[in-house]
Amino acid sequence: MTVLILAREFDPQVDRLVEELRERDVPAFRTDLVAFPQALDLESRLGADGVDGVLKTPYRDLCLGEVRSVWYRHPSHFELPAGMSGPERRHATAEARCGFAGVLNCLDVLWVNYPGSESDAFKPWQLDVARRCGLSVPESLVTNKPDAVRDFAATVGGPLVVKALSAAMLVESGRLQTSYTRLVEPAELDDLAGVETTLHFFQQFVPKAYEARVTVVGDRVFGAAIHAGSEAARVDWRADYHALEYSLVEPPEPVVAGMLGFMRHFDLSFGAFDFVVTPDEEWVMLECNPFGAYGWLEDALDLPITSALADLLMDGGTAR
Amino acid sequence: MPEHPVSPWRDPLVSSGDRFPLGPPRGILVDCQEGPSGSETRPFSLRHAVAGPRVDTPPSWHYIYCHERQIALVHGGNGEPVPMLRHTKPGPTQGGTSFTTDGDPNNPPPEEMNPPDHQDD
Repeated sequence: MTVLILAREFDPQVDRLVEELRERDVPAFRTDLVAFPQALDLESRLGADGVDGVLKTPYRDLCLGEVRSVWYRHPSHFELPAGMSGPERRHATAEARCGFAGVLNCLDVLWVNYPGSESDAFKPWQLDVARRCGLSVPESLVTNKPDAVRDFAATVGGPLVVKALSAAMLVESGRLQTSYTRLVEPAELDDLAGVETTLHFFQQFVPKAYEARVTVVGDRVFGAAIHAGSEAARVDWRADYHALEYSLVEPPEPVVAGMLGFMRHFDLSFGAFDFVVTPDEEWVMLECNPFGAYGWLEDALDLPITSALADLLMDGGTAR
Repeated sequence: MPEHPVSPWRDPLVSSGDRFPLGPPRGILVDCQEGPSGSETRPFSLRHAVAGPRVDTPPSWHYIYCHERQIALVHGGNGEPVPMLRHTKPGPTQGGTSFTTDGDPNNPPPEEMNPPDHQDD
């Protein structure tokens, strides 16, 4: 039985898992959908006997019936033949996407994570589910109304941050731009131009003793405390990785129970949770990234996350 | 414990792209030469966006994907290809380290979370 890995070719965390599986003599079939249709074929028959089929690359074949689990780590878009028109390309993309999704969805095996579950986990919904699972969450506001921001600021009575609801990256003028979480300066409340252009996500800035990234693999929990050494990192630690120090931390049991409830709700087997730990040692959940990176923490703190992931994918017994 | 939500697979408002998100081809962000608009139309959340590298900058890592081993290789000290993981030092990205981190341009989100600025036609 084989672990199917759908991921990009450049992904060091996937390399690490492939090596781990190889050392355990567990077959793995890794491919990126960018290879379709040039170097990846799918042939699947559906009928009275169910679904069967094969994924083929120039290097190996995989019978779909041999799949024990799937690691879906954001494979990249199909690379369709050059020369297609735009409408043809969109049609072909939709056909390929629906075909792959439709066939692979028939695999009654464990997915880490199931693609629909990941895209389900919008941040506002995450916070509500987290609250219902017993986790503390910050006061938050989603709005396109500047007056609502001012009212929220008055209610909160302390600093606010603005953060992205979706991805924090975009490309402008040929350059990557990143919109990190940042403090809203008090003077900005008088000039909130642009809030009305789309929905914005404002949040109470929670006082921090430190932050924690807790990686959950199945029901195993790996906690890392993140200590920020710069002003930028104290607001959003992604803004200044070089100013970070790490230590092991064990989340309190109610927090673990809350995270596991959250995972069950969204049907996730892997999640990277971000918390603020206040000076009073309250754990306040900010968000969960179902696609979160973990390799750098694994090495910094010797956390066996890859091993846990391999265990989970090898077990493969917990189908959706 | 909250009840399980309606599966997105049964939700007619959820697109196939949402159900099966894919990243930018080969993880390379789509270039766009269009610059910011004016203060009247620029979202507030982008007011202090931080400029990163040009997207057409060649990546700092040079790897060969080994289809046999299904991992990335780099040239070691003696010129022989070695697994990138064993050759590079751990640490947060930026120039020849073995990991991608959250927010790393080498670890872009699925395209549906950050749609390309240019359509195909």
